[in-house]
Amino acid sequence: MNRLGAKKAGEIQTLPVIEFHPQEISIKRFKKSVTDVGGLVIDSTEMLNWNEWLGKKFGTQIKVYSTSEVYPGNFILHTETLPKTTEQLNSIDVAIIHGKLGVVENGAVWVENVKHRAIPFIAEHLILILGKNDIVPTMHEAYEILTKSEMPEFGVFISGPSKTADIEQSLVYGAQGPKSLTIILHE
Amino acid sequence: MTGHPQKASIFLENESYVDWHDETLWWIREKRDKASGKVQDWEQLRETASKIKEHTLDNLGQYLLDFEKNATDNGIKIHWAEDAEDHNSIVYDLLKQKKTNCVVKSKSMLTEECGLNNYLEDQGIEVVDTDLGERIVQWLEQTPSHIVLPAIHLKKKDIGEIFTKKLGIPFLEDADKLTQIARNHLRDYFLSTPVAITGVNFAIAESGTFVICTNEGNADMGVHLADMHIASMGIEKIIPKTEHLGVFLRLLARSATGQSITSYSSHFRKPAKDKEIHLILVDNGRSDILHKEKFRNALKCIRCGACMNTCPVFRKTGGHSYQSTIPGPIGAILSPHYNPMKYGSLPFASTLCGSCSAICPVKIDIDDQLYHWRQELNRKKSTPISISVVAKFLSKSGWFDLGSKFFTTIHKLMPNVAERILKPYSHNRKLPEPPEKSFKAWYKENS
Repeated sequence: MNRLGAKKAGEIQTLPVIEFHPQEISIKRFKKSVTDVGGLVIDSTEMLNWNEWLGKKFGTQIKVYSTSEVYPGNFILHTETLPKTTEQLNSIDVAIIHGKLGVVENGAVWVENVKHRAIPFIAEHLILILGKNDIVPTMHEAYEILTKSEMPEFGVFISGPSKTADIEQSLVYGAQGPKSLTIILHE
Repeated sequence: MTGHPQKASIFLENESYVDWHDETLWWIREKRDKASGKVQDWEQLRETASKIKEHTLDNLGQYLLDFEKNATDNGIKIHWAEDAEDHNSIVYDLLKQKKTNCVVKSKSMLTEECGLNNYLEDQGIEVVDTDLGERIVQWLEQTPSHIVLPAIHLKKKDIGEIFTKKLGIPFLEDADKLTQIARNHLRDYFLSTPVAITGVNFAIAESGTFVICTNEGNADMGVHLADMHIASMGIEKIIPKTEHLGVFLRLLARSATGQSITSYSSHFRKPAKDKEIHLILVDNGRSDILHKEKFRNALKCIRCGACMNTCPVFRKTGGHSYQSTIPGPIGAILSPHYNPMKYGSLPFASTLCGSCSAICPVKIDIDDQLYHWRQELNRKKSTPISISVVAKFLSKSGWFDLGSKFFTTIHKLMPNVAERILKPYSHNRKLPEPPEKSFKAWYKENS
């Protein structure tokens, strides 16, 4: 520690202020960013029949874990009995959880306080529910909001489905985590 | 002594691979340009990032202590490791506590630097690299050839063959199918392994939080399903405040692959209920570099790999030619600190074109440091003999004329001998026709 404490010769750099040009909040650009990273954005007004949409997209014989009353699932997760439920977690076909923030510049959605941290990663497909008023232009504004209160115990920015290009730079979705990501935008 | 030129000549034997490697990395560099071009404040971001890192390095000891205190308050167990050996034995002791003989590991250049895999395997522990590219190079008993794209030196055929060998599946070259097979193979390990090891991208002093960025989601799959998470980080990964993540996360993925952000940027502040997080703060030579005024900026590195993608020498010689954990321009200025003899040829594996410094997201003066290293190595007599001889001839006008005349004569009379003298630099290159007379002679006649 002494070695680290020793000051260098000359001036000590002060901590710079983060400056950036404010940008407008554009839902259209947010949708484009999500599409660019392989995700899909649906407006809640387009979601007329939830069960029909779900069945059409992912099949009818599926296990759906959901924290939403508007978009309910059919699967109750018993995390109290972990680690036995590792297999249970692994059987989730679709997980539906709420996002707290969306970022226009990169299509990322901030997710925190999930019942089991593995859920957004282990589900075959992920659906995030996001309010249109919770969209910010860049990561700077996102952290401005996140730092207003104490950071959660675990939180993650999710931008698109899991992906890899490790095999000769061919882009493949669903490397280890969800094979698809859908964001449902509501008022 | 086998240095960069000798190893590069092996890589250069397969021309189609070299061309592919060169073009692909340049394509990624172009994606980086497009992505950064879309960000209005890009240059300002680079400047801010560089200054945040500068400030942090000036106060590193204090920030590390702040981080230790806050992380400890959050229930994260902090360990300090002075060197690689310390680090590896801490990991091994934790694995013994958990009575496991298998561990899943996501990409961490630090564990590569510490030689963790070999160390644990010698103790009878199976290490499963879970990043797809890293799993592939692990199967091939190789090391990553690039810090962000570990299997960039391989083609589909090589990858298909190793899948057949390791998993007993019929030969395939389809990236979708191979990825799906790897997904199923690794999922079994994720579901059954009690300890997961990861690296760390950023650690925030003010809140004791640390951040891990991946595209595959493999780090999260490992740690959330395991009982114990061991995170290894170099002490230079500290940043003071949470808001600084806004700066660094905007820069990192755009610089690395041209993505606007990685698929997952996971923030760990506390362990989940009934689980453990152990974080190892590793020095391993970093505090020495901190005190070398000309070289300390290299500690600002956020490991994006942009300097590799843009470097003409890296693109045409491949990462393995550097024989160091971190290859490319940044590796060439970091590695000689550890072993100037072994890595003495690396600062010469550069044209000093400065492209690396021009795109580095934290503005490290890489090309200046390469130049300083050349001088330093020359003083330490760690430069290759051929370079010392050439340097002698170039340093005095009379010697230069003499050497030039001598070589041109040999070149005219015995071109093969001339090429042999210049080996390995003449490997895969043809010498240009010798000129009628030297420029100096021509100038004398015509002025």
